[in-house]
Amino acid sequence: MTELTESLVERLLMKTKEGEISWRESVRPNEYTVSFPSSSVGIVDDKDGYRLRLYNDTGMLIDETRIKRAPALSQMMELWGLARRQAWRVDETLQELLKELA
Amino acid sequence: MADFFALIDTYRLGDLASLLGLVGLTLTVWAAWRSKTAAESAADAARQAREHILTFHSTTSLASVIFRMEALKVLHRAGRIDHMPERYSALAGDLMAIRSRNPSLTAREQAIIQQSVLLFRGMEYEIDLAAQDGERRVDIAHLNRAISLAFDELTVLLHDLENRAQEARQDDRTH
Repeated sequence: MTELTESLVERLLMKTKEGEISWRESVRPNEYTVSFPSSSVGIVDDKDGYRLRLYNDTGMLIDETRIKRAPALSQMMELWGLARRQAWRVDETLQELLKELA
Repeated sequence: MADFFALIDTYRLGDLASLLGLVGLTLTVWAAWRSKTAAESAADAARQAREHILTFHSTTSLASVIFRMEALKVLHRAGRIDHMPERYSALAGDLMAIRSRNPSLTAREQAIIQQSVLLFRGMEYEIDLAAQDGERRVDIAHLNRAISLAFDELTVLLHDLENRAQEARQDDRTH
């Protein structure tokens, strides 16, 4: 894993917490993706552990990195949980429910 | 010759010539500036016309993509998976063409298109994997859910592009 990958995980976590990027459930199993004007990032959690995928402007997978070491691993775990909640709109649904039940 | 110079000196013809030269220069600069402004206006008008045509073309192309996406869900439900990869690929290609032809798309709009391109490439990959591995099952409900999400985002984008095209037409009529 390169320093660039570690920086990317850190930056993605920061932008996700700030609500600046929108994660979507991918059609590939156990993956959530976020897209930018000409590239996309996928985060995967499966039996092989946490992985970060890079896609180019044509949607082709161009790189896949397994995240194994701290601090990127703990950041990736947190990121995956946040991406999942965002993709499924868990927090918005909870807020709507609470409003309904107020 | 001496008389000639005396005449120039008497009537200050040198100053007059300088003044006329200055006026001539000013007129030349003004004419050049005016023709440049006219050329720039013509270039601006041509650029705007080109952008309007591209926006119009993009709205019709995007409408076609959205219509074909809805048809995909029907075909998925009917279990007609065999020729799907070609359809996914064509849709991804059309979306990439819309993005590359439209420099006026915002970063967010380009990202929406990129997300759909990624979706179609991912679906193509999943169908290919299932074709290779007979035991692997394609989750139709999952694919259709992903299409519905992309469908909603592209529909909003189409609506925004249509509004922009309409505003541009109104601007044209005003000017």
